[in-house]
Amino acid sequence: MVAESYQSNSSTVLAAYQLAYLGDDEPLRYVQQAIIDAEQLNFSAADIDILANLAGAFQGAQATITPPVATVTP
Amino acid sequence: MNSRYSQEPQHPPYYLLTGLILGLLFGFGVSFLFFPVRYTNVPPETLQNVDKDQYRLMIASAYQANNDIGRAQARLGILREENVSGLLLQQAQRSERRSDAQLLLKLSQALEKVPEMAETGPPIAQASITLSQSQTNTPLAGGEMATDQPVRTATMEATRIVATRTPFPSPSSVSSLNIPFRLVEQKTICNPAYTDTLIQVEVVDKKEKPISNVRIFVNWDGGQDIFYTGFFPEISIGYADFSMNPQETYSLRVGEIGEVIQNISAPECQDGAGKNYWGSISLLFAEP
Repeated sequence: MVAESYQSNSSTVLAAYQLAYLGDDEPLRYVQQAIIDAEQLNFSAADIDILANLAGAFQGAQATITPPVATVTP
Repeated sequence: MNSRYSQEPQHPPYYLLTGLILGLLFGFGVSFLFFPVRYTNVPPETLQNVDKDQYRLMIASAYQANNDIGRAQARLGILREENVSGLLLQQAQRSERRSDAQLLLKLSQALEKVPEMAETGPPIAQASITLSQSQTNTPLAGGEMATDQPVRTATMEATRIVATRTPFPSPSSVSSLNIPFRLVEQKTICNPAYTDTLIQVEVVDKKEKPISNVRIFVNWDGGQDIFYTGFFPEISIGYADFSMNPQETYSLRVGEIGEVIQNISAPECQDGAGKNYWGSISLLFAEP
């Protein structure tokens, strides 16, 4: 449901807020677990794509938030 | 001679009472503050009303995105509520945000247009009723779940609605009919959060892997029903449940030749306040 909503509103903030109801883990972990479950349950490729889109969005968000590693030169 | 002792006042052992009270306080503190019970993988029907509201809102939000009314109905059906459309309307009226209210209202109105499915109870029970009715040439009322049976394509209505109900695993064939499933575990579930008194069944294979689309027969005095595993993948694809009447005694069989379990009835439970309520039964069946 969260992934479907994300399709229309493209808000990772809202998706993260909705996924927070599931627990304290990173939202990306829930989406990845959902993809695994969906594959096991033979969900359609379209549904898995929707989940993958959301996972990709969270990964992108993480990449932009992660600060660059500072290199210290002596 | 013993006057010295007889004059001493006799104090009750208050220190024991003090120790008991301190122990209880410490126990409550540990269990409520430091290690509170966390429920996981519970069915959505056991959620608190606030969380149910959030669940309905997510369904409405997803419906806004995909316009898939069948999927929305299937999700709402898991809450096991009656008058779903009315509940959505009520929630829309008490919503603080206008956008939420619009989402809920849209879904409520969409459900009104398909009244034969709006009054969803447990979808599995409806599937079984549809099967027996269609075999006697009775029109398919609420036959939305009928595509896992040969009679499913009998009407345009059934075909049209089934096409939109995709969240469940696709039950391609009933391949487990000739497995003599055996009961391996029976538990009493005392959870006051359950709104229904259930027979909860889980069916697994030799490797303890859940099996979907297994037919389960339940009989009681003057009635019988059939339901299937696989309609609650959020819990387990091998899971199915049936709402009991606490006044009835049931017998249950998994598959065509499985072990028949007799004398299943609702257990009596007691909550923390000493109030009695009806509990549920959990049965685990496995392929021998």
